[in-house]
Amino acid sequence: MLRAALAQGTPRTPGFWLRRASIGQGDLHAAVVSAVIMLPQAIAFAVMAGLPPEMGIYTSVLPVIVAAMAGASHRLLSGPNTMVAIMIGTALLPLAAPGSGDYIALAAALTLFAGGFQLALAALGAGKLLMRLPTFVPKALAAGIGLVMIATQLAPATGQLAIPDTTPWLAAWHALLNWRAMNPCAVIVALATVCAAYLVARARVRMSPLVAAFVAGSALAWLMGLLVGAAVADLDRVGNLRLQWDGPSLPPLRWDEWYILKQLAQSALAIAVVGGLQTIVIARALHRDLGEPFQPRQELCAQGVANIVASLTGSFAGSGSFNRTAAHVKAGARTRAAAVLASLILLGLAWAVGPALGKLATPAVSGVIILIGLGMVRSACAGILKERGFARHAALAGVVAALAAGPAFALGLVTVLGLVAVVLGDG
Amino acid sequence: MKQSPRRPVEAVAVLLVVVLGALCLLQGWPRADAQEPGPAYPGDIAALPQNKYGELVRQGYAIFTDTPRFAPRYSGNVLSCTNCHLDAGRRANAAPMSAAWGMYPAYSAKADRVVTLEERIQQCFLFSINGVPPPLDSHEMRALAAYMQWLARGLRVGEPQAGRGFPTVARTGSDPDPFRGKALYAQRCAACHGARGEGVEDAGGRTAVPPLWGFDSYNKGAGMHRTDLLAGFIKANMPLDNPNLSDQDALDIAAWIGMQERGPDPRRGVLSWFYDR
Repeated sequence: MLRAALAQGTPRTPGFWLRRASIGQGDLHAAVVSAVIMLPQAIAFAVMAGLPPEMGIYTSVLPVIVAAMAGASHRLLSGPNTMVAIMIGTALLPLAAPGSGDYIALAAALTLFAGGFQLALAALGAGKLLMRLPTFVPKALAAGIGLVMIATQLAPATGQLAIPDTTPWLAAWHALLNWRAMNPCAVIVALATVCAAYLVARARVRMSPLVAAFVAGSALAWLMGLLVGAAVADLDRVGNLRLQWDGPSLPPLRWDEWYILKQLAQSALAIAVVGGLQTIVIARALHRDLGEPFQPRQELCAQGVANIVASLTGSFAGSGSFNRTAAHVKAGARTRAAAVLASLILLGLAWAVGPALGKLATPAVSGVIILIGLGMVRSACAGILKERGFARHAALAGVVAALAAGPAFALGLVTVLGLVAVVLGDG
Repeated sequence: MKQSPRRPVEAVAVLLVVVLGALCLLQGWPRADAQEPGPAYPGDIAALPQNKYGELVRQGYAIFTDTPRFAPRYSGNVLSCTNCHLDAGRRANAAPMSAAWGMYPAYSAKADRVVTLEERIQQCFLFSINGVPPPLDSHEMRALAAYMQWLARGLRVGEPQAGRGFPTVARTGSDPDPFRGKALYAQRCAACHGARGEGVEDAGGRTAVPPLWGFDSYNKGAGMHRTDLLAGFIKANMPLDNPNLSDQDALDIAAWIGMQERGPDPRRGVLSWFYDR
């Protein structure tokens, strides 16, 4: 498409250069906007997965570049993703303490397996199969994961210690029941973060509501520390980022600990399916709305390669992202260069503001995650309500299952229901 | 129709994976640990079993002796725990960790409530390390708790041990004199801690001698900022391995060090001027 457009006119005609300049300008603008949006999300999702925040930055660079280069769609933006981050956390919490070397090593192994599974699934033609899954499947997953995000972030947002390894509804219940242990400063920061997004969206300022919320929450947390002292405000902080890449390395796979690897493989398959499904759904939407090329097998392959690269470069698994792709396209992206530039700008941005990022308050990050969850729930529920009959009931069942039993169970349930719908001819 | 423009990008992606994989293999298989390689462990710690408990205690020792390197996420200055809790938390009269383990949970006047050991460690990170308190369920906190418990093995819980905490300097009848302390500092302390209290870094960039004031040292909320605690520490432990100062000397030097500029007290904010009379 780009070639055809550029083919019109020779380098001597001004039209040729004007077209290239406008494409480049759109790409540059989209790159800057996407980088700014990606920064808080990268940190938030790494924190949600139980990994050090700098791994979120790494995941937003090289794997995103690889996925953008290898994928069929020009404008699909990958990187750390909500569903995948939650599934990584769920998979690894029973196996190691979050933030420890073991946990990071297991995350790398998990990512490697997920990438491998995605390549295998692509080779087996699962791309076409995932494409045939009825539309209620990704909507139910999105709504369910959105609710899970809100439920699991209530504890950190109110300054409480999260009880590990419980079902999402129980985590929310404990957080609310334990209201006496809430830290008032944390509650204020989290509420301000959420409200700032709505105010910015209402006021129609030309600023991403997520970024505005992030900035507002962080500024308020800093102000509280200044006014009453950091010890009195007692806000949990994300902690210093150590942006120091040690070079590519293989994830340490201990083949004698087969029972761990088996569990990892199961979770990796789920992550591979979820990541692939999301990417294919986004690519299909881009094809439908913007005429982008749509090759589900190639998209799955690209995600697999990106995840393998991620495991070799100290990152964790990602997938195509709904909200970032939407913002990317809206900001004027036209070619793959926008995604590549966005990653590089993000790296520079993280390096520039790195020391300040360490003082970020966790309630502000939780507020951003809750906002993303609210957005996902709203848009997915609107879609679910458009469904009829079996699809609607199956979607609602998936949403309830996510909240009641966790994202992994919901994925299984919704996939089975989707296959049933395909077989019954409802899809 | 669109095959030819796609092939080069796919080829680039595959090539990238192959190159990265080759680089990894050249660097050796497999990567030993996601963490930094550990410090040189003393005999008894190196002799700990190679199981998960032993690993955790070793990591606690690493964090205790080189906090900026092994707990970089929460560290805020160049100090390590062992700069005050001398000998990796083993030396008597330098607040040894073995004596502390059995006495917690305990009432803390600073927090005005009973705190657990982990919460007390959080206070250390906030004040003495001038950093970010690690969450109670973080890996660094577990490692430190495991190391302290290992140090305290065999001792009775709830029984105050000899050499616990810092000793108190007896009343001398004279007030601490910071200006006499200034002269004493230049004679007795500056040789190691620097004329401006800046400490000394070794060849690897790590802290060989800790700074005593400035923004690389503890802040105004730390226990060491109190003249009585610092005087007790100095009297019992300084000069290092040869404590020979008199009570009055210790008080004077402590007063002089306490007068120097350092990071603000995290318990006080701008509004504290108004409500904290």
